[in-house]
Amino acid sequence: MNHEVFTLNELEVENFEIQEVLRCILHTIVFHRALGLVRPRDIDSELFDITYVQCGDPDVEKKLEEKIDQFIAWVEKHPNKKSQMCISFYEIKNKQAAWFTNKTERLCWEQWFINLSVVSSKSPTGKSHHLKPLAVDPSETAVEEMSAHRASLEKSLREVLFKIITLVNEKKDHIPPVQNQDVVSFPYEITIPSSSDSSFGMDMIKRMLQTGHPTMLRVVNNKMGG
Amino acid sequence: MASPSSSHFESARTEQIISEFFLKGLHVILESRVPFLCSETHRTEQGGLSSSSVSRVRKKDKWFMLAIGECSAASEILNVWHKNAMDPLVIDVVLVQEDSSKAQGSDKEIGSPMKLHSFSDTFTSAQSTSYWNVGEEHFNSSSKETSVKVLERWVMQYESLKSSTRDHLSSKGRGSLGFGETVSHSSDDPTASTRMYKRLILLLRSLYVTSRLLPAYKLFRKLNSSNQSYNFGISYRVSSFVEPFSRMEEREMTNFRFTPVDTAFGRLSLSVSYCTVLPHLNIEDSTSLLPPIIVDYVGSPAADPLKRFPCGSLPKSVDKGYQATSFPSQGIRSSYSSPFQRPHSWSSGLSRCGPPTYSPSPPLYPNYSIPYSTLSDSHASTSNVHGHRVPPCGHHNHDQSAPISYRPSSQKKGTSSEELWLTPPFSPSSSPSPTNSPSCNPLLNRPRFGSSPVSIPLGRNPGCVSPNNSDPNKLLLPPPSPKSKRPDYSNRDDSSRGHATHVSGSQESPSPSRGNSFRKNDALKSGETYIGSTSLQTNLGQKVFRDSREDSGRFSGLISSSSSPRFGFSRSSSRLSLQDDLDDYEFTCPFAVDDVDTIDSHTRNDPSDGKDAPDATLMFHSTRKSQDAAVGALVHMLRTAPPLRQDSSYFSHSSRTDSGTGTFSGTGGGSSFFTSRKTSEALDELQTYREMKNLLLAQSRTQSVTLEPLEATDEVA
Repeated sequence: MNHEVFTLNELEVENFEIQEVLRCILHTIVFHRALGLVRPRDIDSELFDITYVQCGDPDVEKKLEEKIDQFIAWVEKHPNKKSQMCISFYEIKNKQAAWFTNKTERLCWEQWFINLSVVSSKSPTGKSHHLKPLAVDPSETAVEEMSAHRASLEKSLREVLFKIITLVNEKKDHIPPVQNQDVVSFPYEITIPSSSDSSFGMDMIKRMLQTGHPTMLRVVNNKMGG
Repeated sequence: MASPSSSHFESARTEQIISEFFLKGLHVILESRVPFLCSETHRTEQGGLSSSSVSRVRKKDKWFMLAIGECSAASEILNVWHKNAMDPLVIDVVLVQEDSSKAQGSDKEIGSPMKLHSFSDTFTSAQSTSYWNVGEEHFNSSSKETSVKVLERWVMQYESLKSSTRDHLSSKGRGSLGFGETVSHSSDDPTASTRMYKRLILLLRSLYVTSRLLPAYKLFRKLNSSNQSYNFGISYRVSSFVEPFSRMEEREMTNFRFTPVDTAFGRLSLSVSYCTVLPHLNIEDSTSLLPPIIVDYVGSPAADPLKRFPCGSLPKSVDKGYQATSFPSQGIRSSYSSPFQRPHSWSSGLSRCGPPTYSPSPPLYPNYSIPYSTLSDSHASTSNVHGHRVPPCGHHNHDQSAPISYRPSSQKKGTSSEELWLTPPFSPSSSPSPTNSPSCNPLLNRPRFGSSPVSIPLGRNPGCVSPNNSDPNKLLLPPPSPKSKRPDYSNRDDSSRGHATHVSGSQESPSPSRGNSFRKNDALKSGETYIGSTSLQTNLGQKVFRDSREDSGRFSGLISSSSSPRFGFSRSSSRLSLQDDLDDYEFTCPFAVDDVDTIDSHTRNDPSDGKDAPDATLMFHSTRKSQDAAVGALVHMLRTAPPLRQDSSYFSHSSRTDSGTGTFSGTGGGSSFFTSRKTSEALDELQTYREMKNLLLAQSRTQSVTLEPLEATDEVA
């Protein structure tokens, strides 16, 4: 079975936009991996003119919200940094029973990397230092910049969502059999950066190594090299 | 080499899956583009499906694990659409825009309802099957000053493999149709259909998400959610050929192609061409013909979030404007909505309604049409034009066709579990056709809004309305409060409900949006009877109870679902008329009659000193605030009363009891003397008090009636 890794385009977001951007992306991904019986919910984004779809499972929504909040908390501690969130889907396999163990193995078969570049919003007062007091209205400039940024981000977000749809449709062979009747058919995990930057990658590698799949090691090697 | 029988079986199963995909795909597209076309898409629950709710999802809705309800329009379209072997299903979503400069006399035409049943008239030929939804045709015929622009073109096509090619590929085991996925073409592989089904699930998921991301969705939301009338509308066209775009249109269009899904017998492809930039639309805020409806009037459910009305009973401002056409409609409104929606969420279809059942509310305006009924009627006799082919869709067609059973194969390990969970819901049992189901015709399922008038029991409550209405004073009486004994209360509710129906007569409870105002007006006209009767809306589980602390002559403490305002009224006149009926009813109204009952029962008896003293004492002690003033005066009298007279009668009474002593004073004999004297005096005083009380009560008969405590009734009983 293949292990697919999808890396989405980086989005430049401001602090207050992180939540909505992650909601759009994560729910779109999860909706495509919720192969159980779903009654979809159309959610209008609060910041963008985008309607994304939730699978409707309250547990999923809760888990995603928690992870988004954790990510935002991390971003607040590490401002103006590029960050990455990863959602991984697993398959539970029963290993062959050894002498005294009956171990279940969790194999990761898909990973989505969401790249965000968090920038702080430029305050109007900051710009006014470089301008004459009565020359330009800083508030209007800031509003224009904000609207331009918002439009650009919305467009980029749409492209990311279409990218997700394209990738989901292109790669289907690696999806393991559905083994339960849950809404989200596969166990999944969302990884956010840890407290230190240096350990973020190590956490990912550790997690991959725990799965023990040979392809994981290959991916780890690629990641270490790349 | 696959056996012919298994190959045929797999082919038939694949055909059915493909047919269902076409149906569901068309449903997703239409419901996200044409407002109210798939109105019967009901989602009883928003979002997630719990284990208990999964069982309630209809089997037809479980196709591709996407419960979005049903769309009879899509079924009918696919029934009529002639699906040849290679014909694609082309769905054009068009923007029909009225030319505002010349649309003076065509307003009525624009607003006329869309009748889908006549779209079959536009069939031209079997080869180039094409039809427009009638609304557009009607729109075009009525007014030529319109512009039509294709916003999107969805193309679904299933290309069947030629039999020779299929055999060639199956002999090799695996193969590829060129680009796209490789797929096992062996019809012996039982997992092939499962994998295909899984891929189609993913494809449908992507289709669903894509339909929400495209620009035309914004227009749909605008038409769907706003009560304004616009000079544009969204229509659709379904055809079996791809009409080429003009150069200008091609420049504006962007193409998005989903990855095709290969099956053992063909390839399913799906693509969409859409306008990236919507044309500029003049959104005219035309004057609405609808009178403004106040949403948050006092007592409305919008004002009180604890109260919920059935679906469709909400006023205009929160309505989602059910209309048969997406054109600017005038006077075609029906409402369904729930005010308890998340502000930034919208659930497609009509699952916004909180209560599980959905059907549109009775229209608030005289002109409306439900296309589905006519649609179903017109196509009830539609013949199966597909001949030997498996019909592409249609639930009733599925019922008529031979069921295709599907037995999950457990031959191969590792795939049996998937087969169990991703099994297409092939249904061998007949299910009601959506065209004939009641849900297709919302008119038939007009919900019961608000609550039915509650009747007042006949001949059971003296304080309640009598059927003959001979005594107008009786009409002014509130319904009796429930006794503490619950069985009586429940019985009384039933009888009270029936009576109010008789009393209210034609005053049928409409939707609460109008009902409350309606009831208010009627209350002003017919007095408090309607209010009282509707206040006792126990069919909604609201108990009527009395606030014992407010026995101030007002009918207070009454809770009804409609939150009718409280009305205080006089009961003095009613009391006089009630006394005539006291003896006839075993249940007494505690409000006005209890004290009368108490008094009468008390006066009827001929209390001797010893016998009724306890009763009188109880009654005396049971007097509440309503008699507080009298009691207070009485107590004051007692306190300020002059010392007891040492009458000879008292003396003789006491001497009788204490004949042994013969003395008046002294500690030992005096105590007995004083004891006997106190008892006799007390009895005399009691008699005096009784007389005073009777006097007071007699006086209070002519005054306002005050509420007797319920305890007095219980004690008396």
